[in-house]
Amino acid sequence: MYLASDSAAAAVELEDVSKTYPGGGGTPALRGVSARLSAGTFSAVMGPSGSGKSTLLNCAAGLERPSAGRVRLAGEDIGALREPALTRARRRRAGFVFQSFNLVPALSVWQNVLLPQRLAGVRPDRRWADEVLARVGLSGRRNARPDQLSGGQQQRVAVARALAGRPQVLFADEPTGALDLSAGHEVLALLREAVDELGQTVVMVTHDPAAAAWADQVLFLADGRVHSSLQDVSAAEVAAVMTELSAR
Amino acid sequence: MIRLALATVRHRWWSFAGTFAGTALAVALIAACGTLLFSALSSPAGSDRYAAADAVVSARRQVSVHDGDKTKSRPLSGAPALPSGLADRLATVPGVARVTKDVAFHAQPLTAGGDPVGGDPAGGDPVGGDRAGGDPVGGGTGGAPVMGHPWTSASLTPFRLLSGHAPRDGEVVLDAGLARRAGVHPGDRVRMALSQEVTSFRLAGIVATAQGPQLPSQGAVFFSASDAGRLAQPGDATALALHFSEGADGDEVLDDVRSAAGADVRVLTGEERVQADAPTALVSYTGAVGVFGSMAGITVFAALFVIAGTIAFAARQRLRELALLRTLGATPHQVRRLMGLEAWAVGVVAAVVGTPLGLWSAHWMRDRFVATGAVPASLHTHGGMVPLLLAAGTGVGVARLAAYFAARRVARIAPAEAMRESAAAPAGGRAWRLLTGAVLVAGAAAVLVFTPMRGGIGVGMGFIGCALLICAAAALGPWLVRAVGAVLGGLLPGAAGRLAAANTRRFPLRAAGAAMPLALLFALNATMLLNSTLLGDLTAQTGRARVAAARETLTAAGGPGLPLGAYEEAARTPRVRDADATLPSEVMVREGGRPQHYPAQGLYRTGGGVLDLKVTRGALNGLGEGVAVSTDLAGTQHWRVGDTVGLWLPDGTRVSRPVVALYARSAGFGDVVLPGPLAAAHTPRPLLSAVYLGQDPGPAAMKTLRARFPHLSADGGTADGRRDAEDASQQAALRLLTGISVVFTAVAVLNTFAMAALGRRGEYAALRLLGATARQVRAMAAREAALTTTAGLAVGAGIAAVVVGTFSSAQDGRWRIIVDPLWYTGLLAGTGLLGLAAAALPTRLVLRTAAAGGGRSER
Repeated sequence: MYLASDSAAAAVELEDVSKTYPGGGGTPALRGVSARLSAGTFSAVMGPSGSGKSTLLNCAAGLERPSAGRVRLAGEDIGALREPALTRARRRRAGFVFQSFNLVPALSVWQNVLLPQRLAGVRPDRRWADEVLARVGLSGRRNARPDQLSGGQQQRVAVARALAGRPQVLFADEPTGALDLSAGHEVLALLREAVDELGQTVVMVTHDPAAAAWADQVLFLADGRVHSSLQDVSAAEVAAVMTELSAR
Repeated sequence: MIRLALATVRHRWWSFAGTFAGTALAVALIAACGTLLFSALSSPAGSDRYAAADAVVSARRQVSVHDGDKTKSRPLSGAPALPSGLADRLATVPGVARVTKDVAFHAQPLTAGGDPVGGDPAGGDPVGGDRAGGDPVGGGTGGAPVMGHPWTSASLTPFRLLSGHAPRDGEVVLDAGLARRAGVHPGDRVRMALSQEVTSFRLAGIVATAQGPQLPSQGAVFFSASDAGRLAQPGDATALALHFSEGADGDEVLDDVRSAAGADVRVLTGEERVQADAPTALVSYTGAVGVFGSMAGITVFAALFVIAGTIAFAARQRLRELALLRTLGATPHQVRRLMGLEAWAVGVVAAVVGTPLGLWSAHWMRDRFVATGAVPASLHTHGGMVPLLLAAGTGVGVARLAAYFAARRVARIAPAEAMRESAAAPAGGRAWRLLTGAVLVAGAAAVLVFTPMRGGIGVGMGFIGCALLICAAAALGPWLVRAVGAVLGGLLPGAAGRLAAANTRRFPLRAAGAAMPLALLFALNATMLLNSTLLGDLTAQTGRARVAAARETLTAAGGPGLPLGAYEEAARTPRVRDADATLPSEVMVREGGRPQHYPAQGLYRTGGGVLDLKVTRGALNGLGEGVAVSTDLAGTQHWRVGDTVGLWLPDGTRVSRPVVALYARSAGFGDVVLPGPLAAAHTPRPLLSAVYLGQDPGPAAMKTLRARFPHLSADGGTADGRRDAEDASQQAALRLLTGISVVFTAVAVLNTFAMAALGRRGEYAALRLLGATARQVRAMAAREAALTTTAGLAVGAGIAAVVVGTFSSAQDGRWRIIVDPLWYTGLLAGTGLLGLAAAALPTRLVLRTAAAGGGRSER
């Protein structure tokens, strides 16, 4: 298991990253963003709609290639990688939880959890997978199909799957966006637990101040630029910054 | 990966349903056509009339052309004569006990009423299986050929006397089948239609083989040796049957026989002995091979088109899932492999279902084709495993290939698309589509402009041009659909209409997925149907113009043709000044370094003649020792009046004759006119297809004619059995082709609309939440379907117009597009209805469930 023993080591480093989508009217989604997210911490990325927070996550995780700038994921410069090297880097270093549609509908819970390792061609670590499935409280639903689970359960399977691969960074894009309050609470608690007990690095994009309050640090984006960064904030403080950003 | 592929196929079976149905159908049809093709290639070419002989010697029936160091050969329709003295030479070979000469010539018994009695077409009813006395099958239309032989050759099968005795001069012996159907018994007189005359013989006896009353697919009549020698014509096939001495080493004797016989003849043993039989008694499967071969080809084309469509469509419907796999660490290569494995899985299951279905269809198709007379009844369905395995392999391969192309683009999807509500396929491929379309259009133009588009070849070339244009339309589909959508969209009233037009413009790929199969259905069928109808009409028209001057036309009712005597007698009638007779034959001409078959006619002419061949240069009256050539053939060969041209006659004789005339009305007639006696001397079974009289001979003369030639018919028809059989096989093939394309198209269109409707469940639900009534949503879907169907029909009609128009103008310079209004509108309406029905059904079903399902998004 990877443990970020040196808490000062950067899990994600962005250096002057810009991203312009082809056919997007030439407006950049990111304009020279630089940021450093420490290993073993829980970071939240916040900002109003269109502020570029999802693009930031995609670039940081290697899902998209930045137009300019450098991206280092757990020390490896992935900004310049092409397919399939990029996919291989992502397999080793990143795990994902999305807002919805996380699970392959044709596979059972257990098969979904092991899928990334199977795709990577490595022998799945079944004992660890069992343990994370127990951690998210779904040991009893190993053979269920995704459409037999509630939204919150599906999301917990996605968290288990992301943890099962022992990624250096777990990226979560609006993981609670499609859930009711209590189910969202469960998922956030799981992520927090992963950071505290397993030393997992988590980067989460959200627009919900209550969700951001679970994080160690919050990075605020506006118009594709970093606006500010706060440590250990409450939901009310986050909400205040968001109100200010939205009013601009 | 394999587990994921199988799990996906099991879980999302509905998105593979179209691919599965298309593949299973393709496998079934290819298996059926392949089985029939293999059956035709391995079915017996005739009866084993020489079963009792150790070996049979026959002339080599082919023409070879040497072009540089290459030799191209084509089979002859007749049989060359055997070298003189060969029988004596072979008789001296050690180990050869006996040499028996056989000659097979036309000799057909007539019933008391004058109807020709044919051989059994299917092949032998069992011994003693007597059908109720003298059934009118003797009426003989379509009966198998009946051949006359010298009595000495009866022992070669062997035929044994059931009753009576061997024939003396003026007597015949019939096989039991013929005797029964002619209703005659030993001692009766029986009239025989021969190639020169109709002559009465006394029935000396009745024979049968050990297997049955007659040989399969031919009747046998035996004459005394001197009668047979007198009646056989120079072009009739001769064979020498050898019996080896007891105790002789067969292989050794054969070697000696081969070296004594020389290179020009074949020494045949075992199953090959059949090939020494008379050419007219051999069963030809070339028509069947052509029909089944081209059907298999068309099936593969339609299958590739449809399966590629369903797979590509299914891939677009699950882009989000593929993107999710990419985020979980699947490389583009792995996505391609996943889709490939899914295609394998679906293909294999489809092959397992399709193969037995194909075997069953083969039997069904065989029966249908035999019933229409398109295929000889002696064709038995026994293709073995090879065509089935080939069909299964082709089906799976086509699915795999289609998946390869679909995956190539989709696999490049950016993983980030997984997080978007509606994932979009990677852009690009647009230039590729345009380029492919342009190349295909250019190819189609080249085929239509530069290849010969006249006659039967033109029908084939038209099909190729049409297929290329359909592929081009598929490549350019999104633009074509958008263009039609833009033109018609403005005409649709109301909010539903505007929404429908916008959807069609915005998602042209989805619309093209349904429109292009409809275009394929219409274009393919219109081209094949209209072109062959047009060709048939023009041929019939030309035929009518050719015989317009005939006051009376004499043909042989229910028989292969009239004896030459019928023409001579009719031409001698006092009132008849002008008369023509035609003797169907065939010539071979050297063309592009190989011998090429052309239909020909031997022409007998009295007075100024009757047939108007529309001579453009020279004159037919000076035919004498020359030949006349169609303007088509003269054009390809660059022949002119006065040139001396080389031709091979059906028995392989090479002649050089001057061209005395060029004529235009060759359709349904032939490209070379030979002097009658020349054709008669070199054609197997030299019979007249028709005698044309320029003046009415009067009732008294007709009565005399009928008395001498009882099977003569004077109803003015230009009956030509060969053409009828060709028409029948073409019609049957066309009907089957229409069926095939309808089913394939239905699969493709239904699949596209159903999957699109399922994928849009959320969109429909959202529209309902926005306040649209179910009726409005249905109206929008119906208008979209109408737009899509119209686009498909417009594209299909455009392709058909280009191909049919080009074909038509190549025939007679006139540009026709619709040709047959009834068929055209029928096809148009049928295709349109299919499209609308296929769209309405799934939309209705989805709307019923969407109303309950609320705003849940896809899947």
